[in-house]
Order: sequence, then structure tokens, then C-alpha cells
Amino acid sequence: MADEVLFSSLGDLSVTEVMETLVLLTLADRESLFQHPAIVYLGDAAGQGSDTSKIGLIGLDGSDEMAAVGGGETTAISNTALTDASATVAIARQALQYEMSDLARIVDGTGMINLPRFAQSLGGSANMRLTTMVATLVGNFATTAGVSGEDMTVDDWFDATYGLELNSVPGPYLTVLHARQYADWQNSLRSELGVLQWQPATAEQLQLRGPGFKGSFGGSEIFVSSKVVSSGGNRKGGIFGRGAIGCKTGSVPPDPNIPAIYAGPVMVEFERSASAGLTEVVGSLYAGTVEIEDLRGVSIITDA
Amino acid sequence: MATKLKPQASPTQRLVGSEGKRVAKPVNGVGLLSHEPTGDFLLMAHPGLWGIVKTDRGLELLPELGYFSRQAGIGGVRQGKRGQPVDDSGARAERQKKGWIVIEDDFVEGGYLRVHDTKHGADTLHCCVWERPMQAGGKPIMRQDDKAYWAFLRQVAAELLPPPVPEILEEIRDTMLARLSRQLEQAEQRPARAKAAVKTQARIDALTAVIVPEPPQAAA
Repeated sequence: MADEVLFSSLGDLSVTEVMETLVLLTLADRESLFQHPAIVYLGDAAGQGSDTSKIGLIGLDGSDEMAAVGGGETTAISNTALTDASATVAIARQALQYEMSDLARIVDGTGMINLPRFAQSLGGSANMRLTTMVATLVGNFATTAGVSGEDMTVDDWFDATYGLELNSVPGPYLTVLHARQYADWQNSLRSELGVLQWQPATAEQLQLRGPGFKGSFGGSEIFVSSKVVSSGGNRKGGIFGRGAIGCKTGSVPPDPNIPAIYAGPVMVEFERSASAGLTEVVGSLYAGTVEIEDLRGVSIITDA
Repeated sequence: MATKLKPQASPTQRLVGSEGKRVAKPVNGVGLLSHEPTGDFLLMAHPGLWGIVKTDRGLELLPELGYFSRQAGIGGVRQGKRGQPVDDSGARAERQKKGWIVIEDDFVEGGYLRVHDTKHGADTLHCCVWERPMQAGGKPIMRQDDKAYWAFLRQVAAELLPPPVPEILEEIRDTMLARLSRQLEQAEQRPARAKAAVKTQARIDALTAVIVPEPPQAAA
């Protein structure tokens, strides 16, 4: 037999490879902490007159306790100084730009290399930037738990929680850990005895909270984020109550003369370079994060 | 007499030579680090933050460092003005108010911060001089020179921080004692907890050895 029609002989009638219509997302951390109730949303800076604003803290409603008045029933008492403090938040531009050629858009067989898809993607990029801006602050509380250079254990988590309780920090608590810390913590949990139970995230909770939500332990929700910073061979995660960290945004006022997509604090614009056949997609987010009250958080510093 | 023109070669007929140049190697991120980029930062020390660290000298009391991000929008850092990348003056003042001491880059000779290019375009990886980003088969690795890091911590303790206050160390010891108590409670059923208790006890002993009670202040 000879001259069979084989695929291997159809050199001019076949191509080496074709593009699947299914395109998968690359592995990446897409967890957003922005809307968690433990993070105080400080509002929008639109029309405020400055990129920087001061958050006032006032010691009322039980911060100063009454004292027994000694002496007679007409003894005059003296003034108590009002306790106040402040934190400063500054919003700044966070941005990301893609640029694609007309040819790339023409030949794209995936349906992904186009302006609407990139504009949509910039929403996710803005969320991740906010997560990084929060996660960067988590390792900076002046109270710490954990042992430098050693794997995270359940003991570290207890030490951190005691730190919060000693400072009378009200909940809800949010624990933000790096994946390495979480893996070590889980390993330690296997040898733990006691009444506290690890409650893993259910499918419904994952839908609501996102993929970084791992579950609850001892009344604190545990989130994992790769954006937790590292230094000195350690990861700097932490646990904090509401009021420890705040977030402020700024929305660019929509203008009919500027073709852009406005999605809250995220603005997506397109810029065309006709001579080069290129189109830029530029996403901007105006946001700032701040540590409002240091004692409301405890950093957990353990081996990276 | 009319001048006879010499026939000129047209540009296309002219012999043109070129030295040429080496063909540029395709970039496409080849040879660049795949580490996730990190923003600019400085380290901070705090008089109340100390820890017992296992070093080449045994268990040693060393400062725990904080992370001062110098990215606009984080922790009060403002966008720069007049050509400056950022304005961190307000953010520094906030940290100082809370007791932090910002460790400037030139605290050690040659600076302790390093920047590396990554595959992520304009974004770079910021890390410390004792950290070496590497790649093994595409997997990002951060190799740490522990001895250099401990030397840095010792220098911070000697030159930037006052000696630790005994009350602060006692507070740390109290936390360790609570941890030891939990570990001992479970030590019989769980061998891993018994091992952890031995480690904690060693840390407590090391900490106790460095706590020097301050003499009581004479009444005014």
C-alpha cells in the first residue's frame, strides 16, 4: 500500500497549532479585602480641597471613667483633659496601562485582546491594588506575635488574639496571613487540642468573600493574601479589629468630553496613536490606606 | 565652453557599506526575575519591639523591625511634588509619633536597599541587601544571608535604639509563659506540643537572662 492520505503528509493543508477558544486565567492572587467590615471606609475625597485628610479620634463614651469624689458633698472636682488623637490618610493615583496594536486585535482568535475585556480586567487590578495597600499595613502594628524565623503556629495566633483582648479591641476581627503562614498554621492546627474549632469556608461564603477567605477560627475570619509583605526572612501578617485600618478613595468627576468608563473610584480611558496603530487602555484608581489606631491590631511575624 | 558633466550614480546604484550591528537578542522577559514586584520601602525600629531570635550566637535578644512603605497612598505617603517621586514627610512624622525610628538607607555603608528588574515591565522588586532573589527552574526563590541580617539587627540595637526597658521584656516573657502553659497542658497527649514547650522554655530562659531590673528611682 502507498500514498495513503495521512495527517502527517498534509503539510500544506494543516497548521502546526490552532488557538483553543477556551482561554484560562493565569494563576494569580485575586483576593480583595477592600469591602471587609473590619476595614473602615473613610469616604470619597471628591471636593474636599486636599489629597490628604485627618481622621480624628476622640475619647468619649466611656473612654474617661468617672471617679469617686472624696471629701465633703460640696467638694469641687477639677477638669479632665479630653483624649484625642488623629491619623492622616492621603489618596494617590494608582494606575496600570496596557497597549495593543491593531494587528494584535485583528488576528486575536481568543476574544480577549480587545478594549472592553481589558477595561473589565482593570477593575480586578484596582481591587488587587487596594488589597496590597491594606496588606502592607498589617505587618506594621507596634504589638507583635510570632517568632522570627520559625513557622507560624496556633500559639502565635492565640498570642495575637490575647494582644487584642488585652487592649479591649472590639470585633469583628480579621486575620490576614500570607499563604506560607496559613499553611504552617494549618499544620500546627493538626496537633492542637481544645474547644476551639476551625470552621472552613463553605461554598456560599467563598462566593460572598472571594477565594482568599479560608474560614473562621476563634471568631476571626482568616484571609490569605500573597500581598502580605516580607522582610528579614519573615512574613508580616496580622490580626486586627475594626478601626485599625481605613481606606479612602477619590472618584474623578465624569466629563462628557472625555471618553472614559467610570466605575466608582476606578476610571478607564483609551488613548489612540493612529500613526503607530496602537491603542492604550489606562486604568486609574485614586485611593489611600492608613493605620488609624495602632493598638487595634497585632502583627504576626513568622518565617517566610 | 560647456562643461561636460560627469555621470553620477543614482542612490540605488551607489555602493553603500555598513558595519552593521549585533542582532539584538529578543527580550520577552528572558533572564529577568519572575518575582512579584514590591514597592519602595524603608525599615523601622521601635523601642518596644524585641524578640528572642535563634542566631549563630545562640538565642539572642534582637529588635523586630517594621516596614515603612514609601508608595504614594499607603500610610499617609503623598504623591510627590516638584519632581520628587513621593512626599513621605507626613507619613514619617506619623510613624515617629507612634515611637517608630525610620532606618535610612544609608544607615549601613552602601545602603541596605536593592532594586531588581522583573518580568512585570515597569514594576521592580525592592528588597534588602541580605536578600538575594533567584530563580530555580522558573520558580522564584529568595535566598537570605542570615548572618548579614543579624549583623544589621545588632547594629540597629547598638546605634539606634535605647536599651530595652525591663518592663517591656517582662511583658514579652508573660506572653511566652502563657504559651508555655498551653503547650504543657497538651504535652502528654501530643508529642509535638512537648517539643514546642522545650523550645519556649529555652526562649524564656534566654529572655530572663537579659532582663536587668532598673534600680528604683529615688523619691524627689
